[in-house]
Amino acid sequence: MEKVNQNVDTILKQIETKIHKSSDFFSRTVTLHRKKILYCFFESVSSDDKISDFFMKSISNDIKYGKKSFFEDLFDNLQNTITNSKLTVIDDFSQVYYYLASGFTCIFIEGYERYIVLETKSNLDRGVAEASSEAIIRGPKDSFTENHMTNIGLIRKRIKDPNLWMDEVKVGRRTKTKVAIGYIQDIVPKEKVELVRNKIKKIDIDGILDSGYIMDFLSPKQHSSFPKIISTERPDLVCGALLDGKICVLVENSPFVLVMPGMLVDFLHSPEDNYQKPANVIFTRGLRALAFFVTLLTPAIYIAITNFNQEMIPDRLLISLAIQREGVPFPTAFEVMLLGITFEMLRESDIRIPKVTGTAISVVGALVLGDAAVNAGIVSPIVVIIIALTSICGLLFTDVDFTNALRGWRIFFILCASIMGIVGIVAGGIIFVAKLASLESLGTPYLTPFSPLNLQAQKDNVIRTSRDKLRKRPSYLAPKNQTRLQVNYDEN
Amino acid sequence: MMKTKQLKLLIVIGVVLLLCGCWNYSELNDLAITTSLGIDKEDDKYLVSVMIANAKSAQISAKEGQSQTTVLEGKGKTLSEALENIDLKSPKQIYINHLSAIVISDQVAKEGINKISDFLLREPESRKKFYLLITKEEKASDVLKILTPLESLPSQSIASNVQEAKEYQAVTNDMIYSVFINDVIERGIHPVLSSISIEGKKDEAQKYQHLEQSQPDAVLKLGPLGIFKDDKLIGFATKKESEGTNIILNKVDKSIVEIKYNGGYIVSHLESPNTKLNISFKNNKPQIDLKIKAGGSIAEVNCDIDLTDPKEIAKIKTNTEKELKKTIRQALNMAQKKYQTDIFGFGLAFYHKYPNQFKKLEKHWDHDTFANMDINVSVEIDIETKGSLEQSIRKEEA
Repeated sequence: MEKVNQNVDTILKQIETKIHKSSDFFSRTVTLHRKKILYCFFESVSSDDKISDFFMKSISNDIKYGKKSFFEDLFDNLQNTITNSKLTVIDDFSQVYYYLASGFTCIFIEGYERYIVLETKSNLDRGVAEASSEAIIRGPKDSFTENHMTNIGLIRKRIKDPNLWMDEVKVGRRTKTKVAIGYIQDIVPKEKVELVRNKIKKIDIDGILDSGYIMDFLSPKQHSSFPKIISTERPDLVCGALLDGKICVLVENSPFVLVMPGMLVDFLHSPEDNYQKPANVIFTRGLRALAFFVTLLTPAIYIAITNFNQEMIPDRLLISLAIQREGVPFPTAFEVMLLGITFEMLRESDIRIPKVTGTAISVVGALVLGDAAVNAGIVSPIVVIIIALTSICGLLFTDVDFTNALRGWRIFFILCASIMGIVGIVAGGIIFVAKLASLESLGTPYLTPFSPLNLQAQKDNVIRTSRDKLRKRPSYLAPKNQTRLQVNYDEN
Repeated sequence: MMKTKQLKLLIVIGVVLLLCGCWNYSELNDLAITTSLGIDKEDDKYLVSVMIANAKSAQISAKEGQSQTTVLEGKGKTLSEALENIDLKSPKQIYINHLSAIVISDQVAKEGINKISDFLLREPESRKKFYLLITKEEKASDVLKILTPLESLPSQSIASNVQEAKEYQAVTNDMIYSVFINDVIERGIHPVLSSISIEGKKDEAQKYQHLEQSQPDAVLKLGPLGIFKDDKLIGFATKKESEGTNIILNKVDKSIVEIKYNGGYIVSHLESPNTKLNISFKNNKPQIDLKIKAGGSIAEVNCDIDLTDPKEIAKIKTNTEKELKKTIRQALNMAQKKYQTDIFGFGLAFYHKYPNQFKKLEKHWDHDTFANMDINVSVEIDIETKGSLEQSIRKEEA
């Protein structure tokens, strides 16, 4: 803690040396009844209007109507008359830079060892927009923004329970980023929250720019490409997870909120599953489960059965495949990898490229990948189909980390298959399952509720039964408070 | 410590992966996919011909219809030697695991199939699910050389012909190799095989041009059954006898029965006939009851008849049953008297039910017990519908 100097000029000098004449720093000293008042703010993050409205107006009113006694105890009287709801009195001088950078106006009065900060933030954030990375058809359309308070608000307005607690930790020596840990106090086990809080508190880094930074610190020290924390733009997903007994972490300036623990099934689900009819959701979730295996294994199986186990292919298909491969100069495995990597490059460039030139990519991509490569005899048409199928299935999942993890394992399976065929795929499969089973997220095994098998949770796993049957929260998330549906729901 | 352990493990895995190599690795376009095999005998040597389904050229779009077949021949004292000789003529590896049909000349079949069956059973990767056919007075290699129309993959023509015929014809049956071998080995049953023959000018039909005519110069035709005793061909059945045999063997899905009626013909469809075998011992003599049940419908009427009259329908029914019974009798006579070989597997049925009694009879089963056995045949046909016409066409008009 640093003491506040009583001399206003010294204070100004102290601040100016520290921030070295930043072009957006503004300060002014006014004298009221021989008492000097210094106020300063960063023009870039503060709103001039608010300062004039709240501060200048109340000072001029004080001068007009104030009695003489008013100026004798200037600090306390000023503190009471300034019409700003977010006014704070602080006696630690070191905090001044944090408040200035956050868009506050600092007011120093000669002779006091305290100062007033009032919120005069300018609106630098975009408004609440539709989620761009997790689109849905039916359900709420809003998404998190870069504004911390808006983000918390989007959750708070959905869960009006006083048990929804938002603990705040500041992380980053230089960025001083606010990180909020949200949970419903009487559902989540205390130890888990404590675990998360300790991990976040331990982070000693110069800056946090996005929740992705925090994710690295929160993941247990297990090497895996699969994400163990869900990161989402959707407030409804976060709220659903909170009600299930999960913990969310909101990071200032990041529109992606972290939800943990994240299990494998969580990445196969979409919040939309909860808003549609259960009978249809079973099909959709089945498709996603199918796509999971298709995107992992299709190229590997193709390589294995065409190079090693040809007798598995039906007669007619075999002849058709052999005709298609006629004249292709590369081994099948190389052909698959070539096309697969080309597609990944196309996808990467499609994400990075400015929208204006975007159409060029799709034209070139579609022509090169789809037609020209086949006509030139570099790849066979069936490989184009296989890569297309694989890629489409891979893009079914919204989480980028998850999609990329699948991509990594797909290449692993291709290698297995091109060395040992079907035997290789089985061996690779064993390694894959063993790896997944060894992972855990916040103490919950990654394959829950498949392994360890949780029969209660199967009601909302690959299938989803109707709401009135989902009476209990998953026991592995909320061991002490499992009641979701309190009264017996009756059809009438 | 942990790091070095992991590194060691990684090296071990890497070495294992590199050392194991790529056993039986082969690219699809390095295989000569053999779809049919023909086996003839010439000067005491096997003449093996393989039909290879190949691409014409790389640049032709990969439609199935673009595949052309090539027939290569090779001679050898054994099948392996013959295939090796073929391999010398082919730029690609001869790959016989996807065989869909094997055509054996009647000459080879008369000498016995056991000599060649070993090779095909021994190959571990071969699927034993190809069809077996014998030629009738024809060389097997000629059958393979005929280019056939109406099939996008000409190499699959024989197999699809057998499949189709099995479903809609009673004359042929689809004998799969593994079942055939089973019938040869099993006691109390002898196999039958469908025959295949060429109809037309076979020399013209080897050129692609002949397919450009609306009527091809020659086509392949499935024919009546070849009758075997153990692994040897001993003769061919007639068309009627083949039909009867297949019905008794439960190999028929659909067939037709023709009866003479009022100076014209009435044809009935026979739907999934089902034969039940009742065996028993009477006075130490084996007794067999054959019960044949089938659904039926009237397919064609070209005589004067009132189809609305239930009495007429009943009459058609009894006549059709009689006709079918006649066919069955012909088949039984052929097997019992002409060839004296139990192709129906009656012996097998006895062996399953009365193993001890059958063992005593086994030695003289074919030429004595089976040949002189009394077999009761009862036929029941349910004529359920008359098709889209309620009446014969002459009556409809009136």
